[in-house]
Amino acid sequence: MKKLIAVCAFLFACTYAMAQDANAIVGVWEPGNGKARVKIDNIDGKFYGRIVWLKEPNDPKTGKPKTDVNNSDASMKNVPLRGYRMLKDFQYKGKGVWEDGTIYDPESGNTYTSVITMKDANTLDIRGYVGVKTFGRSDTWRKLKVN
Amino acid sequence: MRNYLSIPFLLFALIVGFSACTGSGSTQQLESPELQLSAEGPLYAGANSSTATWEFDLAEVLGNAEKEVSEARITSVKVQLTGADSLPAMEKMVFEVTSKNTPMTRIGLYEGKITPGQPFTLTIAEEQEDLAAAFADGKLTFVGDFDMIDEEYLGNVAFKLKVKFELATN
Repeated sequence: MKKLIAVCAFLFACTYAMAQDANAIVGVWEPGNGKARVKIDNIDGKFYGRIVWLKEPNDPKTGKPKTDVNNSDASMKNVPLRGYRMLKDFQYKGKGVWEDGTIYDPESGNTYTSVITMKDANTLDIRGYVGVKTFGRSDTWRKLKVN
Repeated sequence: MRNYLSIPFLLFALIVGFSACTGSGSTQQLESPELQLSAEGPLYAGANSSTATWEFDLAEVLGNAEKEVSEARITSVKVQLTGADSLPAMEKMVFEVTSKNTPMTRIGLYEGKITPGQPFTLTIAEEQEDLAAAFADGKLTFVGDFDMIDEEYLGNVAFKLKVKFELATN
């Protein structure tokens, strides 16, 4: 009986530690180009990132808030870029790596398979690629301190 | 040989082929129960997320334990902000859906003001991920991102939600 309790306690501790590690990515992050800030949340065990701030929130041509004009679906071109969920469906695989997700580039309208690696508590390496990971492109995001 | 390629024969072959491909499947409409999209405060100006989950027994939903969902899409999303007039000013909603084995997919958009007690219907995306796999998961997660105009709101916000689906089953 004592053994069973010990095993249960160990499994609980492992699960708790894994959840803690997984949530290390939750917070507000700034991509390398500094054009946006992205808030990463945990929704039902998967991780998603929404644009919460844009350096240039309005379209210089129209003066109106930027929308997802490059979306291939015409019915969704009016979706505002501020609030846009550009990181989707990442799952924590352990050792500071989140996989199986996608990253959307609103400037091109393209979606890429993506892997996120936590370099340290304040730095993420985000790699987007099509097909083979080797031929992708990486960006470094830094964590912002939110009061 | 020429007889086999006559127009009536080709039409007959086409109909037989089409019938074989469609099999014994059928299409049915399905409406979710009334769900609650909830956003936990504090909430800040700009986009905020509200979420709702719907867990179900597929056999019960389809009314037949042997049926399987081969295709699924959302046809209607109706939302209503609940609570008193003291709620913060809000507008616009982007609506998405996900499940364990389905990527999050954008389904709907509402571009007007959001007023407590006044239901609104979202514009539905023409291009949708097939949600058949999500039905096999037995649990759907809905996410409604709304824009808050006020600077800050410390309370929670909730919306009533009803979603209609079109399912192809076999």
